[in-house]
Amino acid sequence: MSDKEKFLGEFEQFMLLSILKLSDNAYGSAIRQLLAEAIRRDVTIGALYTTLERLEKKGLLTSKMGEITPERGGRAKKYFKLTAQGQKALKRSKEALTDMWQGVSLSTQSTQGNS
Amino acid sequence: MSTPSGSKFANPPRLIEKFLRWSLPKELKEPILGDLAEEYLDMLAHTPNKANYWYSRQALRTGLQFLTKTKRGLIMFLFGVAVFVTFIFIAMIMSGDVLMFLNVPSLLIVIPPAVFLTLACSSRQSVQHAFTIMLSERLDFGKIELVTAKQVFNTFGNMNMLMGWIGVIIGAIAMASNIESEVFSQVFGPAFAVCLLTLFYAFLIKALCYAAEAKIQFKIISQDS
Repeated sequence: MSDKEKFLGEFEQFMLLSILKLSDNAYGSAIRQLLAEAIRRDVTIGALYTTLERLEKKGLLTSKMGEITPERGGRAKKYFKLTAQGQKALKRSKEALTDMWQGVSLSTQSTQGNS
Repeated sequence: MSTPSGSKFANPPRLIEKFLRWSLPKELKEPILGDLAEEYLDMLAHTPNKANYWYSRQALRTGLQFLTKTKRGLIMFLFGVAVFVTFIFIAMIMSGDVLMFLNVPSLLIVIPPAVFLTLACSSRQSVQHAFTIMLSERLDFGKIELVTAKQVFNTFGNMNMLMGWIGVIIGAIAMASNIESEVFSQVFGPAFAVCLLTLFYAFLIKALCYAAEAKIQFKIISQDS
């Protein structure tokens, strides 16, 4: 399996899914807040951008600078969007996880293990 | 910046914001500072007591995270200086007593005149700019700026050396004039040690100036190549 075909990490999947969910409003702060609400992870903005940059370098994301807003102190937003390659990678990771979950029942195993 | 709730915390902690701006890469300054400002403002409206703490935590952690990438050269330089100072200090401790290397008049003979002579040879602005260039990671300074900055450190280092030697000569003259033959063997040693301290301080500063010069020279070479 080449580097490009490697499966996405957990956090990378969360990031890409957040961007998909946010659609045209996927910028740093919105992604951070969505992650905090959905998976209860208080990510620092630095860690978020480091991952976003890495995904962009891999070709899974594209970015563009947006409009300047007064509530941001006159600073522009940076919007992110999944590329076709990013969507493919996300789909592959989901399929791989679904395959791995086939025939696995945690509750049964844990009951058996405890008895 | 005004807040929706009219809170008194209108701006994020200025010093921390400055640190973050300094440590971020150029291309991420605008989006990250903007995102934090937006969330800070939102937080002021809902939980004003936590806003400053939240901003400080985010900014410090983010700043420290990017510092190793954007200020690697500066960190290595400061680390080098710290190692240099530590080894000198250890050597002083192993020689007996650190206090015997401390002499305020010797320091006053070397440093203030060297500072003023350097300012006289250049300008206050040039000296400030030289430190900015030395501490900066940027490579896009003008050739004249870089050469001037290098010259400032060269001048300061050399002025220190000259003042160090002048201090030695002053000490030697004072010793020769005041020591009497009856007490020569008892007094000469300590007096000569103090007399050499100006040269010691001068060498320490010259070494640091040499390192600063070398750092700037590296930028000049990078530009040329």
